[in-house]
Amino acid sequence: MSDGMVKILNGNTFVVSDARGDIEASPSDPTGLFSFDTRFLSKWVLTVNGDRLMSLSTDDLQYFEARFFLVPGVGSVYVNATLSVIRQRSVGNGFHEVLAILNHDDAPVDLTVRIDADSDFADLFEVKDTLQKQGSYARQAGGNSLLLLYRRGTYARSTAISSSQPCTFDESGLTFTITIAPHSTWTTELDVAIQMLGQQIAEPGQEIGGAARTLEDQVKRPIPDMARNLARWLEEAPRLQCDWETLQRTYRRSLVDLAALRFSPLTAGGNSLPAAGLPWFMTMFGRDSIFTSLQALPFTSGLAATTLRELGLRQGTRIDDFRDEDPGRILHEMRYGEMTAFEERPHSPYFGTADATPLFVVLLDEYERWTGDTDLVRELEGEARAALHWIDAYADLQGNGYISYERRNAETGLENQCWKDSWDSISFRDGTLPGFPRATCELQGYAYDAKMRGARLAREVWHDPVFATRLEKQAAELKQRFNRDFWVADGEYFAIALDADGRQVDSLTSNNGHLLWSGIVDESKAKAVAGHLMSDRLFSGWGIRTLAVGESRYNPIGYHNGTIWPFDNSFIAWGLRRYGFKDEAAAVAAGNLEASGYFDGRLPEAFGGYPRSMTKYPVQYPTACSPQAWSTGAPLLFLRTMLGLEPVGDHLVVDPALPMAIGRLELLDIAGRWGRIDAFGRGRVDTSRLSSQGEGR
Amino acid sequence: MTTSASQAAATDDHVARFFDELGQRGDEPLLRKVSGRVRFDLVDGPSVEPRLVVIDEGRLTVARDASQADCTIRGELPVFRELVAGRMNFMAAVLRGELACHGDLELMWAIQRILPAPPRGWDPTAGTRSA
Repeated sequence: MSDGMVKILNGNTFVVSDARGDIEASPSDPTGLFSFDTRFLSKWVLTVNGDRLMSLSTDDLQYFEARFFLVPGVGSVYVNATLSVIRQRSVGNGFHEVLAILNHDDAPVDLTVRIDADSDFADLFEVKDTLQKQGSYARQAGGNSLLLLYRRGTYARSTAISSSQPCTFDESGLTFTITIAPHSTWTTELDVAIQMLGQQIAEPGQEIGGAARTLEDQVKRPIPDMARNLARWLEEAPRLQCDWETLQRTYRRSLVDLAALRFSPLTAGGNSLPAAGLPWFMTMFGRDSIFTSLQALPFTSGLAATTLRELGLRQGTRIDDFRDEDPGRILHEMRYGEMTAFEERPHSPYFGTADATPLFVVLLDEYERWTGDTDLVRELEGEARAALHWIDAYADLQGNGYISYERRNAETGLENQCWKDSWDSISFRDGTLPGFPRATCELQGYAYDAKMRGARLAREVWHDPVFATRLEKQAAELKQRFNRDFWVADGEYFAIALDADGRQVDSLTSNNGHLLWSGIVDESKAKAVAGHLMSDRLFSGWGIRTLAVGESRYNPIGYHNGTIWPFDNSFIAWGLRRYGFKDEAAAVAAGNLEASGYFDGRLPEAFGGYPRSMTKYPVQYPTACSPQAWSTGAPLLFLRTMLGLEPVGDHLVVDPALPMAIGRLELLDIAGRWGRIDAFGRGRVDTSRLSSQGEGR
Repeated sequence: MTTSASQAAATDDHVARFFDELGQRGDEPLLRKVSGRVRFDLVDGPSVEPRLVVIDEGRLTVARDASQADCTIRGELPVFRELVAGRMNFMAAVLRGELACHGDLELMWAIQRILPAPPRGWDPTAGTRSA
């Protein structure tokens, strides 16, 4: 996304405009008003007496509203400096814009104020891939509104534009002819309302009564009180006090961004789960929603509960090759746009992910450990059992006891169904790419963890000790097998994958850290693994690279081949901690959190893998997606890890190992099955000694 | 989706048979947690054939009954023919506006589990979709 763009959002509805508040979308450009993966407004341009406006400043008031201060004229010479224009815009169902024009002159002024409006109703997938539309457009200008419509068969989407002040609507916009008295202000309120589903089939008199709602009614939800909602969200989160300003700011930024990324599916009764990221990924993702919910658990457990329920409701039940669906499989991605509606894309939902299903069980257990909410564990027993069954019955494509993946939808399905999902992310040391199916190592870790945690739930909540014992036995066998088959003996680390012939894909990667997190690593091997993670080949001083320096495909700005992903690092640090490497975990946390200071508290999806001693500051990867949910969640998980927060029975154990940079740290009112607890710590870990790349502070 | 009159009669039987068999299924494990009333309105020209599916923790009964439901799903008969053959995806049809759903959307997500899987290797838009 180009610089200077202003983004505001509310769930999966968002507006991207330029600094003037104008929208002039090109086919491949993600500017406009989007909702449910569809662009409902691609043009929204304000002129005064035929002139475009110039931006003086923009206030991002909140994530859901922005204010634009403008003057007529272009360039440095004002055509008329006696006028100011203020646009204040907030997102709800569509958006609401208060347009105010101030006349600072002693004389009245006559103005023609014009807004040009249009919509291409592009599917977000079309914006990404620049595809052509197949339906037809219509415009209806009436006395009170302008209606923009798109129709393809029964598929209909529309945008309705209206104004509180009288104006003239034509097919390409609206015009106000006004006079503003001296030192007076003229104001109008503009509403841009979207409609997703028409009533093509329902007949009058067929409505069902009572509190029943249509899908359409729910799409047209009113704007909730966003400001109060955000204030309550911040109030309910634990309070952080510490000497390190960077961490304070990053924590605050994370909480606000996480609030912004909340998405409430129509089935969730107003509850929210984390969408994956703005602008491309404002929807439910199995992997991203689960990882973010895990990161956020000590700070807000509601996201996890909603994620579990909503993913459970949409769990796979049949074999559908186009959607890579199996019984028990947890979805990868849900979309609502035109291409999904016409089955040109498989996202209704698409199931092509190999990790979300075991991670679903992991989240369910971790959620119960924090909250003690056994009701939800009982409610989702069937879903959790189906997920565990999927691991053995559907994911073992090669019959060797490992989860592997190979898409059945060869055209529009995903090739790599693990988190490193780019085409060249899984490679041998010499750079060659393995064939399919691929059994990546972290999937086996997640499967092990899911079985162990599933066993605990089976024993303690479902009262099925036979099932528990069976799961534990399977897990023990998997662990033994895995430590034999994936261990690269001459390097003393775990291969990133086994290929279709069972050969080790032998490059050194950050995936080793996820293995520590899952607990699948033999104690005897943990020291070597931790040593690799903290070595100069993987640890840059800022964080741990996805792929080690020295591997053939290593590139400090390679998407999954050398960049540093804060989300990845947050789970690696948790893994290091799990195996007792407290200082190492603190060093990884410190590096990433220090990096956050260079991004105004907002960690990007990924940043460059250059050694810290070379660049002095972290180099952002040029990605289009920010904020991204699991990067937003990373500082939260780092906090948990550094404080050593661990639920044990009805208690919360606090065992801090904080980097010296932090000084004193307090996290107050951590909610859980224990009620609310405060955690305190003081920075004592000298992180500089853990890496020759780290420069100390 | 045009069919001759004789074919239509034959495929209508498929839709009718699907609901008959659903009623005989008795217990549906995929709806074990679900209770509620879902009415399918099969629109055939000017007439509407209702099928009321009552779910009681997975136990199913089906009746030709136009009475109130917690969730109604309305569509043209040819759409249901495709759905019960596994050749059309339920949620895509909703997004496309070919099915109109009212009421409890959680129930809607649950009830679509009763529809059969597509044929193996089925690609609904192979050869026709944009790249």
